[in-house]
Amino acid sequence: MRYLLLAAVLLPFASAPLFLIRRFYAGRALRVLTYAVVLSASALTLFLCLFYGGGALELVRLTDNLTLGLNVDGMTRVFGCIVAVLWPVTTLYGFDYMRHDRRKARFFSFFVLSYGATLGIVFSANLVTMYLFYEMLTLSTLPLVMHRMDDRARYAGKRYLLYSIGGASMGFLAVVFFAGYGGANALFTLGGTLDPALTAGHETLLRTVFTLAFFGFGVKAAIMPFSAWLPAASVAPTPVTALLHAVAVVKAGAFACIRLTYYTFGTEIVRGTFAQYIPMAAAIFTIVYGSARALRTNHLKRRFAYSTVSNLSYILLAVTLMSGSGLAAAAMHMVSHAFVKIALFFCVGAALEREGAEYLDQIEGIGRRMPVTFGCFVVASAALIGLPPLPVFFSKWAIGEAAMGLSSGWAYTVLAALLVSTTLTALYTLSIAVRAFFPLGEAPAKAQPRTETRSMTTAIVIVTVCIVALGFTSGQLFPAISAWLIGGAA
Amino acid sequence: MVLLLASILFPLIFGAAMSRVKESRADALALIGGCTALALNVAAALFSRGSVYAFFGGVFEILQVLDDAARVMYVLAAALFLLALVFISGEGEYRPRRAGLYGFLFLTLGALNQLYAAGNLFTFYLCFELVSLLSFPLVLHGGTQRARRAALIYIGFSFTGTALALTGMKIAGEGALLPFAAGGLALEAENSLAAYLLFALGFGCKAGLYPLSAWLVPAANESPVAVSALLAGVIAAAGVFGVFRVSYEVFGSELIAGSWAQSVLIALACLTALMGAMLALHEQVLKKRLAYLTVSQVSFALIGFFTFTKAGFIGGMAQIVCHACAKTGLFFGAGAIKRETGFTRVDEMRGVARDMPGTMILITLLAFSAIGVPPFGGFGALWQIGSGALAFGGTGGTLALAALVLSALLSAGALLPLARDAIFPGKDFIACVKAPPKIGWRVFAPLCVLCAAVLAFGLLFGLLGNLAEGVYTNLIGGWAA
Repeated sequence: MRYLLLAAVLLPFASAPLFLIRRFYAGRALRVLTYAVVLSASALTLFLCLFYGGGALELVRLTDNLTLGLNVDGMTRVFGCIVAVLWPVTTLYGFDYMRHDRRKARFFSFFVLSYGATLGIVFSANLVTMYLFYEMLTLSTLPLVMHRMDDRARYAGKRYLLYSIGGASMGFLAVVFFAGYGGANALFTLGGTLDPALTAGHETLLRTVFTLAFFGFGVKAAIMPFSAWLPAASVAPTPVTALLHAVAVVKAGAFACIRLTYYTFGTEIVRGTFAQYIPMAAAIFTIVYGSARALRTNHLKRRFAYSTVSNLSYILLAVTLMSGSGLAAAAMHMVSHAFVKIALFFCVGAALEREGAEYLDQIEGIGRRMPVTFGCFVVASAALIGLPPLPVFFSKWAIGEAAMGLSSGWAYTVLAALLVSTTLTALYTLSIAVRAFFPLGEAPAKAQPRTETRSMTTAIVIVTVCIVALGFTSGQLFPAISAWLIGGAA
Repeated sequence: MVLLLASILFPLIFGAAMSRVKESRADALALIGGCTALALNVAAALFSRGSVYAFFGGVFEILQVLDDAARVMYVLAAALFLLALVFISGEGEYRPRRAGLYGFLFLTLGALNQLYAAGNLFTFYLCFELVSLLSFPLVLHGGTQRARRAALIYIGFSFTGTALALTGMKIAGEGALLPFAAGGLALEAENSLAAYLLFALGFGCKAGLYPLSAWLVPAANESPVAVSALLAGVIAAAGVFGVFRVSYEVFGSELIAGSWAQSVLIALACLTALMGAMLALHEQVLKKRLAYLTVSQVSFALIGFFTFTKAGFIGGMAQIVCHACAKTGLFFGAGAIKRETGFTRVDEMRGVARDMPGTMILITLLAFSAIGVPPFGGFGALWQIGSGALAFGGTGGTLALAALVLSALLSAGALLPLARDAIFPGKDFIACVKAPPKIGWRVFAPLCVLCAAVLAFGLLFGLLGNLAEGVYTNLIGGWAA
């Protein structure tokens, strides 16, 4: 049973060399191989997340206080379920999207590799293991960002590498430091693993290291001032932008911040100090900044990249609340935002691939030619704005409610930021819907030919159905998540 | 319960189905649908006793139930929508894409029905967002860059309003999410006043309450005229209705009456009333002038509710109804003038009554009601609001009364010269000789109905007043009798 953990993580890594075989370069064989790997890894992950009852698995003992290990706990389950559901859907979308690409094999090999790295982060049992897979994720997604290999893509890739490695090195600082205080090696435990006997007297130092590490891991979650790489990275093909830069990579950043804050460092030592307030202020600023930049950006994919910047800071803000309800709210927003944002990226990606519509003014009247796609876009937009009963309403509510536990000055600042950001969100999503469905001038009398393709539309519909289902079951689902995290499973 | 559900679902389903309808059949189908919706709404208002529940777990539940105030709005909204449908079907202005316009009108009606029948704050909030989302395509119908801008302004303000309300909801906490109850939900006083202020500002956005009032004029100006009429009539009334729900059935007069939040809101409402009327006086485009007057006159109803007195309450309720009818009629009149003569500016409309005497007389009568001239409905409403302000007492009450009277005078100054010049153009007026236009019955009939309605409200103000008084007594119980 325990070795199933290892199997889930290793399966994508082990199958990556197969993509080098000429037989799998293109066509049906490539498709079968990719689906086989992704679906089996997802099935295994879902099974482990829902039913795994065994303990942690120790893989390698590097030194006395550095071991690599895998485990399943509440946070694993939340993040694991998200990626296990969304990876196959993106594969469906991706094969259609990359139909005319000649370097499909390279693309899908790294696509599968990055799945392995993400699963490694999901299942990692301690900070060292997570750090290892975290770096792997950076490296395995770099070729995906640079896939087009033109100047802009390569520049974006360089930037991505610089930010990510720089951020991870700040995280590495924390790993090294915490090793000395009993934190890096111990199993992730809610409430922290630092040894109180060792930390006594070094609190300020530790808080400083915590702040640095939070921003370090926060680079992947695009917290200001380290957010510039994410909009630039939207030159990548849409499956990458949608899955990695709205879900896997950026949420891995948020996930790492959660692991750092709640499971390694512990909230006790941080709460009420500068180490809480500096990241919180940065997150609040990023929420408003991201939404405002999104509204100012006419490039559709970049617009949603800025929107992602904003929404990830909702998660980071919930993390910095340093309370159980904050942790639960962060997890809820991780789930709801993942589905909503991937749907939005799928939609604008479909418009880009089918009609070459890259900028806002190129989608005039596109809703008549791609009705299903943009119908789903409207649903996802309404969800992102926070229309109940769609899921983001409930997660934003949870964040606001958790924020009410702060002192009143901070609480009202948070509420004001959420308020401004909601209005901006309504504007930057609905102004796209308006152009898509209500073009200027008289409508042409004739019906226009549809330009949607089946697979991409199917993927979009699946995700949209998931959004609606999440919304209508949120009454059961979100309490279950907080039970996984702060009650029940350790 | 079946009736209630039917009255909510029918317009939503019918509206969605309209997108599949051929343009040539759209008119007939829309009229049939409008009559059905009215019949369902009246039946629900008269006979519906049950409630509809849906759970989302935790504190969030959807609760739909009709109380007396909702019954009044139910009939009013469906009747005005039917008139608007009749008007559009007789208008030439919207020939292309008419089915889409009808479709979104029905969707908006469905959302409004759900909003009136909302039984708790969460449901109300949900419906408020739905109304915004489903009604903004109506503004876009013109298909111009300016219409698009106006629609985006409308969205921006609407969602700022809902976000304010949501913030209020977070501050007030889960206690505010219980079903609406007469006299309020007994919330803790500490943060509740701030929360109440946010709610009133947020929901007041739809009613054009300053500082979130700037959307109404561009939206009403760029929309098709029937849509402007509904924006100014029923949709603005939905905002007032929200303020009423929050004031009397969530926070309760015991908590709010006499607090700083009440003073702030009365001051804002008076400011809005004055500003709207003054801007109306200077505006030459008739639709914009009417929109500014809407901002002003809807705040009269808000002043009435914010005083937390019996007379103010009755006046507020009556003002919602009378204003919706009168303003809808005035917008229809503006549409009729534009259709027959092409005039949109007030200074062009001199002598218009030669060509269209009937319409102009009806417009004048409706203007009397809007200004508050007896024996029209608007008079009774203003009288009650004024007595409410007096009963509120103190300097604040006197100032509010002064603001009311002044705004009423200013609106008279904005509407009456229009009627005077149109009917009595003076000796030097030279009429162009051309074939007198023929106004179709489908444009003329809604005006007649609305005019008759405001006259009936005035003559039978006792009935309307009794209805409002009944609502008030139920709400307050013996508290301030």
